[in-house]
Formats: sequence, C-alpha cells, structure tokens
Amino acid sequence: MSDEHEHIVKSFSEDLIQLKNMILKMAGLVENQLQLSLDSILKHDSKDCVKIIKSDKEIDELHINIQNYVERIITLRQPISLDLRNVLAAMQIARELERVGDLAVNIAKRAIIITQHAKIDKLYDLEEYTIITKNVLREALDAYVENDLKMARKVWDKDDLIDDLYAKIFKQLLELMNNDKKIATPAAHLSFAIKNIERIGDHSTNIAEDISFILTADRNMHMSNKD
Amino acid sequence: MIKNDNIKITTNDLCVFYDEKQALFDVNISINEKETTALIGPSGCGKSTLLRCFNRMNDTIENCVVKGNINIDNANVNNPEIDVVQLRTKIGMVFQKPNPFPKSIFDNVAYGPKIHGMAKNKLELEEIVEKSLKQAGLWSEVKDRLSQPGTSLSGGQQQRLCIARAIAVRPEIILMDEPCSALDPIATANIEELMDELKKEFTIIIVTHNMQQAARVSKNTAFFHLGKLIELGPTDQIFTNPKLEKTQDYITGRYG
Amino acid sequence: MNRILSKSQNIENSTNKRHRKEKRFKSLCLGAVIVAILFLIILLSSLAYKGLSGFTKTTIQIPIYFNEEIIDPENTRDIAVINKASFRKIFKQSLLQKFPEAKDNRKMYRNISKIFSRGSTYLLKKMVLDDISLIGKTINVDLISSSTIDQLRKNNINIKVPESDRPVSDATLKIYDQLNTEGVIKKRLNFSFFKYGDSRNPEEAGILGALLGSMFTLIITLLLSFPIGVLTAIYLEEFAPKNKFTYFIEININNLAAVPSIVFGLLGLAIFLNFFGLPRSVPLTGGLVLTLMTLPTVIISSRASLKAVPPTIREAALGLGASKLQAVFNHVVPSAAPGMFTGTIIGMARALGETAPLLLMGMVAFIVEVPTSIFDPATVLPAQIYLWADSPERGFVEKTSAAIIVLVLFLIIMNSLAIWLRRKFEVRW
Repeated sequence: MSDEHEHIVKSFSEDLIQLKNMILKMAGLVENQLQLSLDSILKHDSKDCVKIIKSDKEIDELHINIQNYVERIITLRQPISLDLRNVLAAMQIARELERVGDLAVNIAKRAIIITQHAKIDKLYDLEEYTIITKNVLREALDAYVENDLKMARKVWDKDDLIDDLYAKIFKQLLELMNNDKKIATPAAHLSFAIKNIERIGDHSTNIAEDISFILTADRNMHMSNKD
Repeated sequence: MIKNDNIKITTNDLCVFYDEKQALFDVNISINEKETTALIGPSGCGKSTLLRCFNRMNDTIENCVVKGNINIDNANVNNPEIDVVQLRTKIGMVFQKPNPFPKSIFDNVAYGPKIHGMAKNKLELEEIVEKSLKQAGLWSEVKDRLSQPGTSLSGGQQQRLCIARAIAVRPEIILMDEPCSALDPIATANIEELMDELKKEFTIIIVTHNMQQAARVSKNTAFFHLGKLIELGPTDQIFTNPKLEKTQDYITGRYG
Repeated sequence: MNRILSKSQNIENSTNKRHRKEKRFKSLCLGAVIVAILFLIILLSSLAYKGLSGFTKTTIQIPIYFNEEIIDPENTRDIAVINKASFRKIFKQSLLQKFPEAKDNRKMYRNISKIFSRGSTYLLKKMVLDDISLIGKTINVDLISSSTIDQLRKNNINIKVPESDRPVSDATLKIYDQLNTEGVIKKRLNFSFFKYGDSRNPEEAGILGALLGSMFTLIITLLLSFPIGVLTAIYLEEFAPKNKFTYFIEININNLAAVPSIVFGLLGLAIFLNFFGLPRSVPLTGGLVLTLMTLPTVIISSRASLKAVPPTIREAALGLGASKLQAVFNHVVPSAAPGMFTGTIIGMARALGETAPLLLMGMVAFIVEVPTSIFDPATVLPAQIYLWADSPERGFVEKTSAAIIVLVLFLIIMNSLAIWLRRKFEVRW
C-alpha cells in the first residue's frame, strides 16, 4: 500500500521506521529466547535456562521503550488512518512479543525441573510442534516487516495446526503418564510447557491480526479471507 | 456510504471554467440536510470553487463559467433565471478572513435583515440581532457595546460576528470557507463548538485545510484533487480507512 | 567572543559593508529632507518678510474743512448735489490751509498732494455722503498716503541715493519729515486689502476680487468634478466590464492627468467660448476648464481608494444577499469616501493654483469690480499674483507677496481639511 510513498515530513517516516526497528530488535531477542528454551526442552539440557530467565529483563525494557515511543509519535505527529494503525499495531505487537518472552521464560523454568528427571521419550511430534510454533512466529514477524497480508493470513491459518498438534501431544503425554506413573512430575511440567508453546501460537495469530488491522483496518481475518 | 434519506443539495456533472482553465470536472456530490459536510483537498483542488457555486458567488468573477446542475431542494440554482439575491438569503456565507463591515456590531448583524425587510420596526430588528448574536455565542461578550465598531473585536469574536451576521438572515445553508484559518486554537475551538450547535438548525458546508478540524466537526467529508471529487464518505471512514489510495496519501501527509 | 556571534571573516566584511551602505543611504535621505525644509523656510520667510508689510498702510492725519460753499452752497443737503460737488477743491483748500507756503507755489502743491493717495477725494466724498452733518465742520481725517510715502515709511526706499535715482524728490522728503515730526503719519492695518478689488494704485489695490473669483471658480469646479469624477470612478471600478474598451478609457484618463494644463485651456477656449459661446473671463467658464483639468486627478484617486477597500467587504455584502448597488453604496463607497475627499481636495488645491488654462479663458485680466456671481468677470488669486508681479510699481511688490501669503494660507487650509477628513473618516481594517 502507501508505504512506498514517503511522508512529506521525512522525519515522520523515519520515526515509523525507527519504531519498526525497535519492534524487530525486540522480536529478535524474543525469538532467540524462545529458541533457547525450546532447545532446552528438546535436548533435555538446562545449561541456557538461567540466561533465558535473565534476558527477560532486557525485553521488558525494550517493551517499555516502545510504549514510550508510541506515545511520543501519537503526541507529536498525530498520525491518522494507516499511520495511526501502524503505531497502534506496533504497540500491540510489542505486547504480544513481551508475552511470548514471558512464556519462553516459563518454558525455561519448566525445563530446569524437567531436566532434573529422565527424558520423556516417545513424544514423536514434540519436535515438529516446536519447529512449527517457531516458524509461525517468524512468519508473523516477516509478514509485519513486509506488510504482507497473504503471509499474515497463512500464519492465522496455521493456528489450527498448532492447536491440533497440542491436543495430540497432550493426549500422548497423558497416555505415557498412565503407563508410567514415575514420570508424573516431569510430564506434568512438560504438559505446562507445551501449553505455553500453544499460547505462543495464539500470540503469533494475534500479530497476524494486527498486520491485518494495519493493512485493512479490520482485525477480523474470517471476513478478509473472503475477498 | 452516506445515508441518502435527507439530501439538501446535489450536483450533476458540475464543471467550472476560469477562461480556458477548468477548475471543476464533473462533480457529483450530495450534501445532507442539517449535517456538516467538510470539503478537503490541497490548494487549488476546487473545493472553494465548489463552495462558491452553491450561492452563485462565482457570478461575481467575470471569466467564470459554471456548467451542470446544482439542485438545492430539487431546484436547479445554476439557472440564470434564479434570483441570486433570493438565493443568497437562503445560503449564508462565512469567509476565510473575518470581514465585519466597518460599522457597529449592531449594524453588522442588522444589515442583512434590514436590506431584506425582515423586520417591521426597530424592536423586531433588535430582537433579530439579539437572537443571532446569542446563537453565535457572542451576545454575552458584546451586549454592552453593540454600538462599537465590529472591527474592534478580536479575530475570533469577529468571525463569530460574521456568523451572527450570516444567520441573522435565517438561511438554511451556511457555507464556511476556511473560517478558522486566521484564528488561534481557542478561538477555533469556540467556532467549532458553535458549528456543533448550528448544525441542529442549518446545513453546514465547510472548506478546511485543517484535517483534524474536518474530522472534528463534520459528519461527511469530501476529498477533492485537481478539480475532481475523489472520495465522499462518512468522516470517520474517510479518516480511518479511506477507500482510495489518493485520499489516504493526502490525509496522512504523503501527498507529493 | 560569544560563539554564536563569531563569524567567518567574509561574513563580517559583508555585514560591515552592508551597515555602511545603510548608514550612507540614511544620511543621504536625511540630507534631502534638510534641503527640502531649508528651501521651505527660505520661501516662507522671504514671503513673510516681503509680504507682511503689505497688510499695513500709512495714513496721514490732516484737518479737513468741509466747506459748505463748495459742497452745498444752497443748503439743499441733496445727495445729487453733493455727488456733483468738487471734493478736489475741498481737498486742495484743506491742504493749502495746512501748508500755506504752497499757496502760490504750484510745484510745491503738486509735491504735497502727491503724498496722498489719488483716491483721497473719493474718501472725502464718501465721508460726507455717509454723514451729512459733517458739512461746514473741520475734522481731522486720516487720509491714506500714496504708495511712495507708504514705501518710504516702510524703509523700502533708499533716500541716500541721488534725487534723480529715487521715486521721491527732496521736496517731498522734506514735507514727509515735517509731517513725521508732527506725528500725524501713522501705520494702520490695511483692511481695505481684503475689501476691494484690483486697482492701478498699489495703495488701493485689494485682493477681494481675486479671492471671490477663485472661490466662485472653485465652487463650479467642485460641484462638477466631484460628482462626475466619483461616479466615473465607481462605475469603472465596480460596474464596468473589464474589456478592451474600458481599458482604453482607463489609459486615456491616466494620460489626461499628465496633459499640460495649458492644453485644457485651449480645449476650453475652443469648446466653451467658441462653440458654446459662453461668456469670457467669468468664473463659470473658468470653473468648467478647471473641471476638465481636475477630473483625471479625482477619478484616479477615487479609483485608488475604491481599490484599497478589501474585496472581502464586497463579498460579505453580496453573500448576505445585497445587490451589487447595495454592496457598493452601503459599504464600499463609505469606506472609500475619505480617500475620495482627499483626492478631490488635492485636485482642488491644484486647480486653485492654476493660471495657464485661465489665461486662455480671459481670467488673467485687470478687473476692478468685485464679482458677485459666477457670471461676473473675475480674476483668480494666482492670476492676480501674476498681474501684480508684472507691475513695475514698488508698492505692488509687497502686494504680490501678500497675495501669495493669502494663496498659501488657502492651500494650507485645504490640505489640512483633506488630512482632517481622512483622519476622521478613515476606516481601520
């Protein structure tokens, strides 16, 4: 859309780019954090967990910076229409990312406990589940960078896949727990972790909806699916 | 889209020429009764020209030719047989720069009713003046100095005096040509508040360069570009999600 | 040095240069103003120096015996009889009584009688006609001196030069000295300067004729040029379509303003005198010619003041449903009126000072009678000044300056009126 058109006031465009860069920086930190926490679960290795928990502080700071920056843009530039949606969505996306970061920390905390027990095998879909979740988040952020409504819609569509996988893995985990009562503790923690992963999928969907809001002024992707 | 149940003005393929130069191209616009319609667009886009078509002010410009129909209450006013004097009693106008006559405040407001013989005697005239000044929110500020010259008021007061002068003739439509462009923000807010009151009784058409103002005061907004009506729609839609990229570019300050 | 004020050498040089230029220009302007004021002071002071004495006259008091034998021997007290009586004899008798030594000396008598104005006998007659009871009495009368004696008293005659080189003979000088020691020679305010028309005798010449002539002429000019000029301006500025024809008219009006006034005189001569056969030398025709000359000024200044009325005022009135005529006459013209008045008065002031066109209308003429209407022959102030300046008598020199003072006063009054009108009716936007 109008992004190839510059604002007459160039510093306004620069402000918007700067906001986007802040979001991307935050996204990079969050993605990295998520990657490490998912790896901890998959590789049954807690060596990065403390680092993950500590890095959350940095993400929170970035989140606050983005909020302040948005307030500044709204006050000084008084954006309307597309620009206003861009700024409002940026605030939303930052919030989603902050939540994803929190969830990654939660997963890392679970991983610390899980890795104190024997690794639970036979969860064959777990790896695919984590990869899909990571990819969906990546795609959502790519869609944000590219202002790509189609990609956002794909992200939105993939949420069902994540939900299905979650249900499947949860069922498997319940079966394993029934078969072997000894794994109850790590399995319980793992079930929370996979629930957290599923929540990350939801946040990615929210980001996709924010992109839709920016580009079409409509959060409802059912509707926009039709045209 | 705009609801079409109470249309006051419509134009059909309205074209305006200044000599060889065409200022308006086939404009078809409809304006609702007792609502505020804002006309926005870059300078020279024809919005003021359109405004001046409604009360035939373009007649005063010698080389100006207006083609097409302007229907007000289903009568084509762009018809040489229409008496412009009568038409202008029906359509008041407020200008960009406050332009009170160099006469007393009272005489400023009383001039219209006087020339149209709207008051039988002095008492009636005084009533009209008081009512108009009250409606323009100026009465309390000037009631003790009605005999002072209108030019002694502040800019915002002068503009409200001009509005009082316009509504003293009891028009149905008020045309406003950038009425706040010469005023400070407080005076502007006063005028905007006044417009909010006036729209209960009058159909208001306002030309403004201030998009925030258009957004604040109007129910419908029309965007003009290079003499063409690009987009007409409810103000909230125009300012949140216009249909056309040209409108979007203009309202977000990307117009190049 | 403050960092914000430190500049590169180039900029500093150029600013210094600019400042110097500005100073130079200012001092040049000031110099021009000073020169202008200096000239004005020289003009006014020389006028005052030469002219103020023109407002005084010299009188010589001598006893006059209104001999009944000469005036009215039959004691009829009939005005017709008195009118026919020889007051020259009365005058002579009284003079000889005062100067008995001149009784048989014809030359000496002529010298003595020459110190009095030639109009003295008329004055005596007038006194008797006003008061018949004077007949038979002897009364001290202040007789107006001749112009030469007047000049002598005003020290305008150098008595040190040889007798042949000055207008007063030694004998006259002797008589003057004798009278002066008696204390009968007095200085009076010359009210008759404002009471009478022109005369061949400087001591009797007055300005009233020219003053009234100017007034009548200006009234005609004002009555014609103001309405015609203003209406033309209003039409051209507000109503006329802007096409080649009106453009042509506009250019011609502007050109007319630059036409030398003598040309208007020729035009007036051809049209008013030769074609319409209007009378010569009268304020009516003079006023008509001056109207022709003043019209362009009035039209141009009126148009300028109409143009200065902001178009928003017209729009405001039209927007309220006023007709074009209402908009123009209710709002535009009242706002432009001060400018129109000013322009008209300045045009009138120009007309007041004009001689050239009137020359051809026969208004630069020696006219003794004071005009009573616009159909009486008259002259005008500047023409009077020209005529007097052209006269060789020393007495007319101060009359010329006095008349100039009157003219300048008139101009000052008219210009002040213009300024006052503009101040009073000026509209501030």
